[in-house]
Amino acid sequence: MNYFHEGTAIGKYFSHQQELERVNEEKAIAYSDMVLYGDEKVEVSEEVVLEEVASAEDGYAVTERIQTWDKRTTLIAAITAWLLVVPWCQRQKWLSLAYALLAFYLVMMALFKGINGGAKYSELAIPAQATRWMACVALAVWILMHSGSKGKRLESVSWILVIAASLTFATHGYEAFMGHPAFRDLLYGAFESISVEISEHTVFVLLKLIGIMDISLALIILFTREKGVFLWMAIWGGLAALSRPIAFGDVGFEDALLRIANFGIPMLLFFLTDLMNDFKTTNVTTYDETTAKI
Amino acid sequence: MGAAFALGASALSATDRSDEQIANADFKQLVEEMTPLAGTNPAHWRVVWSGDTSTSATISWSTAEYGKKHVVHYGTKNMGTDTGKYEFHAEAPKNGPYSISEKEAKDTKAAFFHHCPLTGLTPGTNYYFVLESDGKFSKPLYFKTAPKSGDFKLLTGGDSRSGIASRCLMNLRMAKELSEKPEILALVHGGDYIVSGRSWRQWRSWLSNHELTTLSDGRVLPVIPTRGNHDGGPLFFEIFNLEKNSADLSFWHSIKVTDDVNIVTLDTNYSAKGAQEEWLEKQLSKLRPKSRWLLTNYHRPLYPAVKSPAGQTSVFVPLFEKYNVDLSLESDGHCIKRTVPIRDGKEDPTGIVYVGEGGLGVGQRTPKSDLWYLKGGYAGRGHHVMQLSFSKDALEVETIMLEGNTIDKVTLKPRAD
Repeated sequence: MNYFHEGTAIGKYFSHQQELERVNEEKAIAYSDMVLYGDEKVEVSEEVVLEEVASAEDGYAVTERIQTWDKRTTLIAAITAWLLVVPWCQRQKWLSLAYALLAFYLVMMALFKGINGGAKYSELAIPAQATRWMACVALAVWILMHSGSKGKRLESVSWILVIAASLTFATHGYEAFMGHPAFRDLLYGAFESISVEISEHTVFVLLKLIGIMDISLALIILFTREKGVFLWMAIWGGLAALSRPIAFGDVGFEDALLRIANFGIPMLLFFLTDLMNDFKTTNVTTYDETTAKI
Repeated sequence: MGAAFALGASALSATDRSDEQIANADFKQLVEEMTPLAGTNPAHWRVVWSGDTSTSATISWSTAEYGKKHVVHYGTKNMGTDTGKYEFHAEAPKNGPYSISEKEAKDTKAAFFHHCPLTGLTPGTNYYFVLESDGKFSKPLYFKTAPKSGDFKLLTGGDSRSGIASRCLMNLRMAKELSEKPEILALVHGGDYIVSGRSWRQWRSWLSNHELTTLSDGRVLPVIPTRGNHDGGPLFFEIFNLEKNSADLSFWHSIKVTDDVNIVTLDTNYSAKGAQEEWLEKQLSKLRPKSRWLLTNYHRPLYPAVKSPAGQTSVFVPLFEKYNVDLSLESDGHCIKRTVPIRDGKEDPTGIVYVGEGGLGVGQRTPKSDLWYLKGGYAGRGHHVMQLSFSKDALEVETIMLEGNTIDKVTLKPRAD
């Protein structure tokens, strides 16, 4: 809903770019740099024309077209994502391409969030949102390897999920360690909801500890597959997501939903660990049995 | 004394331009009117207001070379270029290099800031000054301190981060307003001066463009700064000579404009709860009883016209309502907005009006005019600045477009008399 309300980072980027092109921004900056600061970086002719290349009204019209396409793309992506939940779809190998495209779309959203800037740590959006886009990569691989060895399939997918969880936890851990302002408000809000007042100093100390914990978890899962660790990550990821509506009320629900993968992927890894162990011990699990267990 | 004046070319100032000429001014010509940053020529002059604006101000400028001696010659009498005749000669105590990122350092020349905080000034008085850096002088300039009491006007607006040609035109518009209404004291800038707060290349352009707000007689429009979400990094503090509130480069401050008008400026990049919330409550409880007009100002809107509400909404709004803030200034949305008075999440005549969203040059967006708090208020788009006219009986908020026309006007009455 948030993407429909505000537009995605991709839509914002292209809207902004077209506006800069409309007002001839690049040439205007280069010209003023040359005249005022003697910059030799960009050579601009004295005769350069710096007028707007289109009217503001034309600019609004183009922006509205970009926003319409942005919303349509988001809608198609959302519908595709939900369609792929249907078991029949999951058996269509060619549909792995749809998941790959979804993953690409989500990576682009994270990339453009970083390029647009204006938000703390937005440059870390790609690893921070790894659970979102790598979940799609995992599903694409899952379908693509439909006819291959089941053991290999499980192994590949679980590795993708482990890397996704690791990247997201490590990035969030770093942001927490650095005292991300939004995380501070989440902590204040969470404690307030149980009528406990905490000082700013305590918040910073807690965030340092949370940061160390998250980074440690991110590293641990790269080397060992402990069910308890995944369960803890799922609980923690779920709590962190739920802290949004707890701290900010109704407006935080969308944020919590967006972070569902931070709970879902560790939870999936928790169950996959059992499946992997089963598979290793029996080595006769059929594809349909595995799917049924999941 | 007083030779070797390095004047920024003053071809055709805003004072001399018609509304139409302002809206259609040629960017190349405007660039020619700005002071080139070379040697120790004083450029990028600005007057920064924080704290008590009737008795203090910081005069700042930039040079391309570090230089050795940086002085503000100032006084209450206009001595023109005769710097020796000014009453006071204050050496700038704060000088240093602007932070340039490694990426920019390769092809962007260094520059240096010079800050000279002045205190003990007389309220409601013109202060004339000339900047000197190693024998190079600025043109004669002046600003007016806020009066202790009485009627006055402020300009307010935000988001000058891109569209530098439009930013220049809006600077001319503000200068035109200043020339026609001398009771305007300063500009409350709502933040997002530039796209990337860590880019000196972008800041220097903003600073050069800001010179266009200076009138042909040398009157400077002081700036009351606010930190926007694009103003991260140390340059914001180096440019406005401000002290950060925490290790996190946050910035909130209180501005006493006159004895009964106060503005509390917040930082929507910082956590709302904790230190900022405590400070805000302290300020509002202290200032409300003595303020006829109490305003809050910050970058990200709490009642937005384009985006979703700032994360600080659930903390700031209850405090604003508890202390009956009169008007809230917002930026960030890139549109024009005036809400109906709001209290407890609904329209209420005793509530707070939220205005702004930023139009000092940045490309405009289309506001969601069907939001309940905009029906009965105003929502639109276009480059604009807002004018706040303070008097004993009314606070008038006018939205003035680049072309000089007023498209929205509302009058607020004081809460208590």
